Amino acid sequence: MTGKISLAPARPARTGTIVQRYVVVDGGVGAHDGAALAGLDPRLVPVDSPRHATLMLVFAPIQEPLLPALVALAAALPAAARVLIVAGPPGAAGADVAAVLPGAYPIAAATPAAIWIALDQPPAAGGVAAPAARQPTVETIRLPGRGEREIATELAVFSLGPIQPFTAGPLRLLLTCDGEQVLEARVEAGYAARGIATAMRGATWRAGADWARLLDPLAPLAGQLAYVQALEQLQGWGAPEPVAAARSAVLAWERGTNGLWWLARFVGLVALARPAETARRLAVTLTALGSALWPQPPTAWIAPQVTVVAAPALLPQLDGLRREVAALGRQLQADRLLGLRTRGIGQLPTDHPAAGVGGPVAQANHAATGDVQSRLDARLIAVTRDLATVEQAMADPSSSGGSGGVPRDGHWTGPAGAARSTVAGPRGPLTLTLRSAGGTGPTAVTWERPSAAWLPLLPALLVGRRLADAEVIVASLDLAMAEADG
Amino acid sequence: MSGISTALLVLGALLGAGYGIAVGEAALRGAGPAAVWLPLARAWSLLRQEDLVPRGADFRLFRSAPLPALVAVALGALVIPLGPDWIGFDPPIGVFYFIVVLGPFAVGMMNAGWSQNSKVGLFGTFRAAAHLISYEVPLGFAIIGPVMAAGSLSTTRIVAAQAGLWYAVWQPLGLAIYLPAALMVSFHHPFDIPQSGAELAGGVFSEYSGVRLLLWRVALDAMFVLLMAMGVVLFFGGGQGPLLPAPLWFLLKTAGLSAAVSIGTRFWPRLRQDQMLTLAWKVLLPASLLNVALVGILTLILIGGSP
Repeated sequence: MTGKISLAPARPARTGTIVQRYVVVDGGVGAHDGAALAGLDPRLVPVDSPRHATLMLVFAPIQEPLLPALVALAAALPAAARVLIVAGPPGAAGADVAAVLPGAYPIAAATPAAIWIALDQPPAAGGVAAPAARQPTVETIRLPGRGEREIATELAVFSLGPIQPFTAGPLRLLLTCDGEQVLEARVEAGYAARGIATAMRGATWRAGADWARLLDPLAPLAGQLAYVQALEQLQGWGAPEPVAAARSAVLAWERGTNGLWWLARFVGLVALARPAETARRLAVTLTALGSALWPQPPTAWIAPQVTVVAAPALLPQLDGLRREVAALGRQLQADRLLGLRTRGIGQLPTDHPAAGVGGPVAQANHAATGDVQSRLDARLIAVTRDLATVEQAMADPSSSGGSGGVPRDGHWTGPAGAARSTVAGPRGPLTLTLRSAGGTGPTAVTWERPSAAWLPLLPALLVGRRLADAEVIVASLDLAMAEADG
Repeated sequence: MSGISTALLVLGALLGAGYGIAVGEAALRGAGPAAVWLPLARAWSLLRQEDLVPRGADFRLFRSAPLPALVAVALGALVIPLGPDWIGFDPPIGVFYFIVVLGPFAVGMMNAGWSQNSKVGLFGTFRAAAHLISYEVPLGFAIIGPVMAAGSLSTTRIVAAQAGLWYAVWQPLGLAIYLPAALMVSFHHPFDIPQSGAELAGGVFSEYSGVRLLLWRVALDAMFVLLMAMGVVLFFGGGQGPLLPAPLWFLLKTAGLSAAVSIGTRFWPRLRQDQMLTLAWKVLLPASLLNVALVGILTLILIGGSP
């Protein structure tokens, strides 16, 4: 966006009763809520350009490196546009967004009700039209001169991001294009970096679980379970079969919800309206079922040496949901029109080893052509399988772990030693290595993050492709930037 | 009724049909009863928004870009016959005139992208220019079929020639070519990549806001309805039908065709630029040539070469 000159100023008035067109700024936690909002209220319309927007939704926390881009985006809004800051998960720390956007208004959740109530409040003094002066870092990319190339076409550098819709969280791609073809790609990450591993090193064993949940805010249970399993290894305790089964079920539920939210965002990105609506509805249903499936929140009972509580009462809904997901999967796999945008793009070059990557994307590489369509297929199969796992665990009474009521607290002690734990997260295997000297917390913490493994491979995926395919290819990887940046 | 007042009436009727389609789309998205006022509320919110011009933009071109598009729609509506006497302007070369006046629409789109002093706008302009070149040929050939069968370029004579049988019945290939070409002309989904796509943040319209963005939205929707109306003229017998007055039949057919196309395209992903070009040049163009040959043969067989 370039600077702006106003022709006709907006008229300040009550905004709560008219349509709002909004842009989303996702600091790394808002991908699911943002996707859900797109279908909740027809008066709330997502738009691509901040110039079209009357509302900017900022999903906190926002980290310091993203602030210049956030301020630039706010400056591109027409006057009288409002900025709402959606509160992040408990314990998540970030930069003070309200300080750089003085007129921003905080809301607790990105629900239509909360948004309309907030819009009826008068804007805070200062407004967002005059945000604090912050200049984004300007990087110069040298393009080859006309004489240096065989055919002297004019090249252009496109900066996609860091605020963009094709990853969950901020990522910037600098694409050097010859017309529609990408000649060179550069990746800039780190906009959501919080230093989770460093923070865990200074935390107690108990507080470490809270930090582990924040590693990937879209999959908090995977992070917590990896941490708890590592701690149990240090303690020399192995989870009995029912406990392991229940943990596996809750992890499968989390993978399933993430898979469906990814699907809703992905098919929305290629503007496939009807399947996007179906995927969004299924994702909302499965997310809501999660709180009913386990009366006690899993974060409370995924703790060292604690058994579980399960509620096998919702099998009919779960079974129906699984069938609907399978039907949607069959429809999308057979959709030759969708294949126009997904087949034959996004494969890794054969001489480019995909070291460290796993999950559905790696399965697509091994089992099929490794293109975007095969990733879509692999993820749909994985979601169906995950729902079947949850269903099976709910149907099996032995997986309840034999304990009812409120679970007791865990054994939050870490004997000296080292432990390594891997869980199957939504984006691939999430591995944690812990070292302990027998003190109140870990002395060394290392995460191996599935999204981070893909970042160095992005240029190889994008070079030679068309500009319009770049977003589809990156979206197909389901990168969670909070997890990738750590 | 004078030609100008009839033309204004036709334009108003088409805009009304466009509003009806917007209501239908809102209803499809689950708006419920609110779908009735939602399009008006959207327009109202854009009217109230600040009207921005990006720094460094070509001021006059940027501000005036929606006008050629709106003028193209208004001029095109002149030759749409709602009924036998319900036409603003009935030249003997009606459909040729119609194709010619469509050109400024894409020119307006290109001006919008070119003038805004940004790379995304410029890329949107290139995409719009590729559109303009690609759709003209298959659209023209698709229209030749009804013209050959009716033996006239006049829209009223084409409608009158379908008194016995709609051309959609014996020229389905022509209709199948016309509809995607019409979607390309109106930059409608799935051929809306010059103005959409996350990578271009709105493309040619990325810097527009307020009333000028509203003008663009109106122009795009009106162009879509106008092309569907021309589709009714060419393939569905215009305002012909039992019991109801001709203008009502015409509007019903236009709304029905528009709704069917809008619903059908919800199952299409947004096509890339090169896919649009491939479709236009490698599929629609050969098919339209085949259609011309088939219609020629059928015209000779069915009506002996004289309509």
